[in-house]
Amino acid sequence: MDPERWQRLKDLFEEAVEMDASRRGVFLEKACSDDPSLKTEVEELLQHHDDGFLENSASGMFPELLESEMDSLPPGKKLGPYTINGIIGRGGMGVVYLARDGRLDRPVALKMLPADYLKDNEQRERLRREARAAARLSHPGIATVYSLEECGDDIYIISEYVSGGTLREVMTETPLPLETLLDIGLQIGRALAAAHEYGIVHRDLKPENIMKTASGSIKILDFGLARIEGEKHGGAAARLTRAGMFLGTPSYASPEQLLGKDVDFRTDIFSFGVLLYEMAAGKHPFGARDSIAAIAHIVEGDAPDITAINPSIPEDLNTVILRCLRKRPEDRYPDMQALLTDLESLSEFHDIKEKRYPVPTGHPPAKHKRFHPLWWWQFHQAVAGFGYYAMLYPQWRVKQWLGGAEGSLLFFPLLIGVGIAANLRLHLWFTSCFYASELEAQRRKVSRWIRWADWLFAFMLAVTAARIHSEHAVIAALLMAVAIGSLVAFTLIEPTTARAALEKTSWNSK
Amino acid sequence: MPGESLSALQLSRIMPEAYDELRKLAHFYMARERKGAGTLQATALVNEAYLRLKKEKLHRWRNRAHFCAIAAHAMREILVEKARARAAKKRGGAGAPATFVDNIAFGREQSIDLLSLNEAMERLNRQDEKLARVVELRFFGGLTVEETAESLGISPVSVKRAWSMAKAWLKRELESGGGS
Repeated sequence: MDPERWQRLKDLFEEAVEMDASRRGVFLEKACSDDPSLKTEVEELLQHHDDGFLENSASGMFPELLESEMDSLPPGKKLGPYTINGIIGRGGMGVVYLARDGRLDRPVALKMLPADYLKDNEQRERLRREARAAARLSHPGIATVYSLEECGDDIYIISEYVSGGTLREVMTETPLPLETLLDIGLQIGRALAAAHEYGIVHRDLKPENIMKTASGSIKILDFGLARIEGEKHGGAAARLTRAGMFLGTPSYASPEQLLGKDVDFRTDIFSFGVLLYEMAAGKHPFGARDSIAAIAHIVEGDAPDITAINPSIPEDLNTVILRCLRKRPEDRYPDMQALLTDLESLSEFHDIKEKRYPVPTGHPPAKHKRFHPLWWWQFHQAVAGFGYYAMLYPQWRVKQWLGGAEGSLLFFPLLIGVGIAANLRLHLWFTSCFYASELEAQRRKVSRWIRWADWLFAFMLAVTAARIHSEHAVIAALLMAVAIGSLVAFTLIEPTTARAALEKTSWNSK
Repeated sequence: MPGESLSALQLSRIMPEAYDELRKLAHFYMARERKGAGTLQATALVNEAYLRLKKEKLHRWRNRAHFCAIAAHAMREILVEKARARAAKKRGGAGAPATFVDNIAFGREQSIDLLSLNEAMERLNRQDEKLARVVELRFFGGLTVEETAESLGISPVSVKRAWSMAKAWLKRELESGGGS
């Protein structure tokens, strides 16, 4: 379409879309008296006008394109002395598992680095160096690195397992009360100051990397390991993204980090400032978190005063936080200690009593005798599978009693239901026993079929029971009981056992 | 009728107001999702775009608007590449096509194929570059109307107009099977 006509089309559309639908006809008739085909065009566009279309952003519309393809280790898998219990999360550099150290009988966090991630020796050497440095850190606010294990091409880092929630979970109820904010802020600040004194920079401070334990004490995870993740301009990290979804976020990076410049401890001060800001204001200082606009604002753009967003925040805290967020590192606090001093005097000034946290005494020993939820889920699948087959017998008898078309009508749908539900359950049971790594994918594939077949099964039994209750009351009661029982089992019991057994393992962290 | 669900069409006939309310509500939630804390996928996409830019272009930072433009473009490229890879895999016999079924909008089921959308956007780009850029920033980049306006240096009202026109045009393209 030539530009002139296109412009006219746009103008007409914009005008017509604003007006009442009933007036559009007359308007277009008049405006396009010289060009009826243009009128048709506008009308077609108006027909396709739809506010909902493309209203969700692309990443929300095609989430499956961004799903991780990273393989994960199945629960029960042994790596040297460590037994995998489940996935804690997918972190900056691979999958993090909850595992148990069999020698010392304690839970550990095991971070597996993908094999293709550290191909050359230089990177491996750097990782070893960083892990050694991080392992020197001993502070109640920092999760201790226990060891670095190498097994063939795989490298994994074993560190202290911290139970509790991440700061992200705490921050769902932002803005936080001043007392909580300063309590968390001081704890993070002290841990950072201690690390900086050892010359270790975190580089990837964000709420997902900070844990709050049940007692309220704070622990920072993944100290110093972020460096390995990025060579100056992408390198290893970019390679990793090809392997699977990378759950880093640039929303807490400092301007110098985003621009690929050299960074020092002042990058942590910036990230810490973003964190404090989010806790105080209830929102990210530079716009919607994880949006490209916010990232652009980090490099170029000012954070609005927190007092304008949350008036209960004292002016002096606002000043402290904004100073952390200065673009040029030299305009921020000269070191963590100076920032800490300001936070402490602020806390004192506002008469906030500092909390004391008991030094943790460690994790309770595992109870070996307890049922493993996976076992229970497998049991459920197997019993349900065989139980379904067993119900074919009474139904076959009913078919013989009733005979003819009616008997067949009651029997064959049930046979189909049993065929699908029982076979697929036994298939899942088999998969979980012998190909545990495939289980998740298989379950996704077949669970909908199982659900439909379950309903068919319960429905057919109930209908049969209703049909024969006058002649065979006992059998009818049996069928009805099984129908109700299976209904309860697959709507109430099964989702719970499946969640406990197959999703984020929580049985050892509680 | 028990056991039989009403189709959206029937629903809209019986209770036009309720239907409208539901749609509004659905869009409200979708909009909130869009504005609020990023979902896992949004985070992953932004991060991937960032890493790609960091590798190639970011050290040549020009300004915010330029960054948003290249980041949104990178996000589009990443999604299209992934969709192509998936489509290729599908031709090989496995995997699902990258289509999205908009069930949330209550019955107005629309299935969008990302690759067709991408092609339609290229056609739009040839016709009107500005409209295509608005779609890239809003849809692929996930920017709000205001952020898009800032990035393009035009008023939010112009963005809204362009957005509405571009969407109608793209929707028609997709429904007519393209190629016009």
